[in-house]
Amino acid sequence: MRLPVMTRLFSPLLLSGLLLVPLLGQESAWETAFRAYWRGSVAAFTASAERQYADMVGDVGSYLKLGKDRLAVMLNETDPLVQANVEFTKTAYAMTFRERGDKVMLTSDYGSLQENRLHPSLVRERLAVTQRWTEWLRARLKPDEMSLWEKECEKRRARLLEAIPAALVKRVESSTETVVALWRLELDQWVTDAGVRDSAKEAGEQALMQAEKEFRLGFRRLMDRALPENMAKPEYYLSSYLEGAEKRQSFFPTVPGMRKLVKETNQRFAAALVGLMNDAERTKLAKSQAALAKRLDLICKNMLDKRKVQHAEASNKQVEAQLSRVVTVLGLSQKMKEEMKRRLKEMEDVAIKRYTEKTYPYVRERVAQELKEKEREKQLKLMEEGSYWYDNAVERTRLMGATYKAWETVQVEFLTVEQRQLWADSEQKAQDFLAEMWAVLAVSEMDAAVRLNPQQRTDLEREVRVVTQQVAKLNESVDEMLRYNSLEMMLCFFCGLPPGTLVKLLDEDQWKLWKVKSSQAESYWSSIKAKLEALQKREAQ
Amino acid sequence: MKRACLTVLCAFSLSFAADEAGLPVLTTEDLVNDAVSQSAMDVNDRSMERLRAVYEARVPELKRLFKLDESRMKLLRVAVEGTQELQMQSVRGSILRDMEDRTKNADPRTLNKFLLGINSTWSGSSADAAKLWKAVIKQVLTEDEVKRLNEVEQARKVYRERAIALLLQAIVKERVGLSVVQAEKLKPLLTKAVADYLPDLLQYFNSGERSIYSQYIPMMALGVKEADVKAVLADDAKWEAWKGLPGQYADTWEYVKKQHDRRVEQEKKGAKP
Repeated sequence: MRLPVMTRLFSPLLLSGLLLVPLLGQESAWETAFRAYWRGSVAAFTASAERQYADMVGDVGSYLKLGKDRLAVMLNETDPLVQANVEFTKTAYAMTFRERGDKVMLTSDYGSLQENRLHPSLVRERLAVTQRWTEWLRARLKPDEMSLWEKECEKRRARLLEAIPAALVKRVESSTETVVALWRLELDQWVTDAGVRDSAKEAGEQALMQAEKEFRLGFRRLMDRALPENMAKPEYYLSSYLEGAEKRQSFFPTVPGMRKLVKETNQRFAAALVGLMNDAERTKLAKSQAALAKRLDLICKNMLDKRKVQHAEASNKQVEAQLSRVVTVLGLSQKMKEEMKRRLKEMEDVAIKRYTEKTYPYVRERVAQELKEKEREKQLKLMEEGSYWYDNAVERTRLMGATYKAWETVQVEFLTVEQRQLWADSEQKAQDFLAEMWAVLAVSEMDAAVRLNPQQRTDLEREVRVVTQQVAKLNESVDEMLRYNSLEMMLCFFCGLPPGTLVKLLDEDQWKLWKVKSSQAESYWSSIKAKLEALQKREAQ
Repeated sequence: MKRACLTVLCAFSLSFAADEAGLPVLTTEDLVNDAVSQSAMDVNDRSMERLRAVYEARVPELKRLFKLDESRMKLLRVAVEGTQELQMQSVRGSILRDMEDRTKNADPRTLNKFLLGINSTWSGSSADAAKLWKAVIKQVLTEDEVKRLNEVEQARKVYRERAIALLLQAIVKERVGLSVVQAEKLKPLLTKAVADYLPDLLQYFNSGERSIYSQYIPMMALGVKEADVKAVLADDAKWEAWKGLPGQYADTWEYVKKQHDRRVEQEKKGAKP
């Protein structure tokens, strides 16, 4: 693919710029924001890349019937691929933050993060990631296997190319429909808020039709341009595209520039509407918007208040449980318990104040965005009734971290060194017990699902115990861990094992039975994993 | 499903017309059977697979444990199909009973609502399927092999009991607020309660050796003798917390306890010469 001259010239400069700024010690706002974002997200990207390569290896393995031993070895060796993929993602995401500056990230921005993985200036890096996978595979397959696999990939590409034209048309139409529905909402709201004359309303309809036409044409052009890049992606994407295109007659490749197109067409449409108003209508619109802003402020305040109450309830419960345990184990007085509680509350209040200050602007922007995308009055009512609310996940994690830290501080302030040791020993024993319990429950569930032999039960219990030992450190109550009620959920702990462990310990039939259960287990595991990572971060600090 | 209900509704309207014309009338059973069949087709992949998986998962283990030739494997595969069919029959039966009660005086619109809900009322007994499976196992395996299989199942049951006993200990410790010493003293008593009552709890759910929900586990603590618990707790508040362990499932516990007592009584009688 030929890159535009300017892009080719600036690409190395841009990348070296990204790398040099931190070295010079002059960190800009976007870098600070990006570092915080990356710290909180790297684990999720790593997990996603791990899953992706495990699926790709599984795909190759099942096509070539490689057998579980070879599969286990291969699954154990994907780490360099994962790391390279994550590094590439980091570069692409840094670009997006650089583009956005220090503005708050919204959900809708994550799409543009994805787009930047296909940024023209990153073509060399992107191809290197794909190339690395091919080389990695070549090093592990016999020449005849590799050749068979390459032929299969060619076949898939050919099938995809055949399925694409129809799917492409459908995709353009469905996206156009979505965008036009949003503009329709905007138009209706504008008519109500500004109380425009019939002639202006008519002209507004014309502007909407024009915007639709521009978007459809522009999107089709972008899709055509994005196709070669998407087709050059690793086989993993090809398989999923193929499935989408053939089974659902739908096709969702990454389309760089789509958001820009939406934004620009959006702006033109909005400007057209502004131009259609007379002075009286403009004044009426401003008044309506001011009233709406007031209403939104109140909604956001209530949303945050509710969140805070919810947090306080959960935190009080945890504090109460911990204090009761300390009092029982160390034989402390009720008075001391109350003192510790008061101090904890003091620190909690400071943390909650910070959370409110940082979260409010985020929630406000999210709510405003939401109203642009859905029927306004209905959404406002739902939000006012408290049917749903928004939160800032980063700040929420920080708030939970503050609760943990407060507990550490209180121990130092109130307990002697000997008492702290005694308490730590007691907690360790409790954790060991929980770790054993979760591990045995997990193995028992696996036994029910795939029927293990005694040796497998012993081996799996030993392996999964390493995972549950970490889980026990979370200090979550048993009731909280069992909130989904089904003991089958315990299977999720097996998702925390190093890749390749299960495929090695189970036979082929058992592995197949496990794969049926594994996606549900993965989804349970993802939330526990996030908590574990937060805990590890706190411990590292 | 919409298609199914439309068919059923049409059939329902026709039943009135047919009645007047002296033609055979479609009964609720016909309507429900039709809706269930349609529903089964609509959710076929998921639900039928789920029912099938219960026994299908056992075949690889049998293959692993014993040298099964093709004819024995074939019988097992047929048995898997049979268990699936029996469970489906049971599902149909339970829906039919339920629907007969609910549709006695229902107008077509209400009936339509009930039939639309069929997808969410899939449950049935697995007792017949279990019987069939047991009979086929007896036929397919030699006596020695059955003995070996029973040993394997017994080891699995013991491991399961260990898991549930540990969970029960953890829940009791947390909810009653036991000290380390109290927890240690109660450990053997709780373990025994699980060994005593778990079979009856599983029987209650008709679930063989799995599919137990965690909210029913705490009730088994009440299988420990009151005097033994009180001797360890020596604290009224904790005793109250102990008594409240079954939570909203107190009636279930009463039922499980009765089942247990009846079973033990029968076993005693059976053991007498």
